[in-house]
Amino acid sequence: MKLLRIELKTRWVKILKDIWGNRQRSLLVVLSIAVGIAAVGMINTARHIVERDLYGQFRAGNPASLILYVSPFQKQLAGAVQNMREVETAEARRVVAAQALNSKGEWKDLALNALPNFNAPKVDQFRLESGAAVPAGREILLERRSADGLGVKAGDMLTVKMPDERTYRLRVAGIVHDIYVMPFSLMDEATGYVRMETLQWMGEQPYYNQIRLVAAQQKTDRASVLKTGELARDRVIEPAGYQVFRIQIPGVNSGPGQHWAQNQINGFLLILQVMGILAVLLSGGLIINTISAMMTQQERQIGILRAIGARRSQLITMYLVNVWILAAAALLIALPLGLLGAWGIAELAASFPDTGGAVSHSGRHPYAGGTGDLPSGRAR
Amino acid sequence: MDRHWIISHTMNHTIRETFAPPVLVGTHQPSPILRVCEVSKSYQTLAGAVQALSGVSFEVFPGEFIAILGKSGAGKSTLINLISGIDNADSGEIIVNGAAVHAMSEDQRACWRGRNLGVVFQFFQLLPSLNLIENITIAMDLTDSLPPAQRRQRALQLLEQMEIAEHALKPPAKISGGQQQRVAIARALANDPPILLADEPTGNLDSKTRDGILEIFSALAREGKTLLIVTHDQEIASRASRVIHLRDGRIVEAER
Repeated sequence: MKLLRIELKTRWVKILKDIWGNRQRSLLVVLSIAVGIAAVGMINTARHIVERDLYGQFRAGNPASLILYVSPFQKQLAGAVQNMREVETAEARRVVAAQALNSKGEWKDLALNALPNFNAPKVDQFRLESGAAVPAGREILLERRSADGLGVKAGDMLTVKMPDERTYRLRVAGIVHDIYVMPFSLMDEATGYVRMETLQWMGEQPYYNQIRLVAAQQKTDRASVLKTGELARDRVIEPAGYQVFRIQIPGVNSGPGQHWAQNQINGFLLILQVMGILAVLLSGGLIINTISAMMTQQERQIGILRAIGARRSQLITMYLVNVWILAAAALLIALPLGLLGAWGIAELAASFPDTGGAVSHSGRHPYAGGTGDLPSGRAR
Repeated sequence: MDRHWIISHTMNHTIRETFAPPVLVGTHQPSPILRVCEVSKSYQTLAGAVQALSGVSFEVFPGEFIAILGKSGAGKSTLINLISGIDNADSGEIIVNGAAVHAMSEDQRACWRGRNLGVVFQFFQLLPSLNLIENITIAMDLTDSLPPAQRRQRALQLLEQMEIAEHALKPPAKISGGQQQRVAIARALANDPPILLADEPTGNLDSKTRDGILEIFSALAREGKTLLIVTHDQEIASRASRVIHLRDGRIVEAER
């Protein structure tokens, strides 16, 4: 047992006893330091989490650089656009404006998306949350917030009214998370995904009206991406006899390949960052005041230590160690606090654009090797 | 009274060079252990410059018990502070045990003081957060004078010598003023210095406690320590081998 006994030098015993003997003041210093560290750590970690998980998930789903609104066409046209060397991927999509009856008996706008192949999505991929990944005939997949807003879940029947006022009963086969659509709570418009055969059963003609493409180069350069869209229009689409009504970069004032709420999220994080810096300044002031008071209190003792032989370097080391001990204790508080806060902020930042769940506590990307990976849909 | 000493320099266990008790062996003139030569010191105050010491000179030989007497403001404490290197003289020389204190930097003086002088203050000046043993071992720790494993034992021995070993683990606030002064003396002796300086060591004690402290000083003098004590106390002066009277920053009388 004697071997296990740690003989501390008396100067360190003094420092430890000083800290313990002035518990309230020490605690104040520890909390002041912890607040500063936690604030900065929280904001920076939140930014890191959001960039890694939210934006990471966004990028992993192969977001469209551009949407071309085209007169009715068959999916081979998208194949022709994809053959352009300026285009990395292009996919056809049909979007129909319909309405769905919610659990309260109210009609809500519904954007019905038809994809050419639910098994091999190319652009704007979405993720299965529950139920079946691929809808069968007379079945629909619902975006999760749309399902919440409509008050339905996987397995329920949903009444859908088409533009010609005829209504159809579709079984909700699955609930998906589509990071590329604006949430139901924001747009008051639901998003659903059906096979082309289902649309035909509902009286629609089997054609597509959108081409979603990913530019091959300079994917985030607005001018370059728009130029690619114009090239697709001028070289492929219009020469084939189709009309391009509109070329649009997805999102609201977003850049190509950017999450539609990226500016808002970054603004939110910037505000938090400013608050973090203010917290650091405030806690810094508090730390300086408290440590100054501590040193003033120690002045007489420093004089005594000098009188019995303490060198300047010894005194500096002693009081630096004192501060380091307090800082280490602050770190113990600040690290978990900062991490918890960071997850909270990241969840909050992600919940605004309805990307909750994009934040991965394990650090594993939701799309990475998941069996429920699904094709995409962006309601319009 | 002439005293002729040969000082026996010994290596005191692992500490450092120190002095053994003086041995009277013949008629050789001993070397002074302390030489103060034409030392002056003034302070700036709001009222102007105050001359605390003016051209003070004297020598102290090993084993002497010197009492420095004088009224308040005579310059007694200033003199002790200059000899101990706590303060620096404006002019003059102070040689302690061969070391030119006046020529050292503040940090060198602190280091030297810890190893070569014991200082006892009127108000004890113990560290409140440490217990009695730690108040003594910290003096050894700062000067690295003994192997760490031996420091506690040495501190206990000193506390036993001061007859307060039973309070070893108490903080200073839990013992009386007289006991605190004993601890302060024990701390001053921690590194076995050849010279002990004390500034009004009994000034804050009642008469009974004072007697106990004086007995300790007398015993230390008998053991061969050189003592230099600043005091108002005539009882200390009566026990001293020599008394130096200070008035207005000058030595006015030195008696044996």
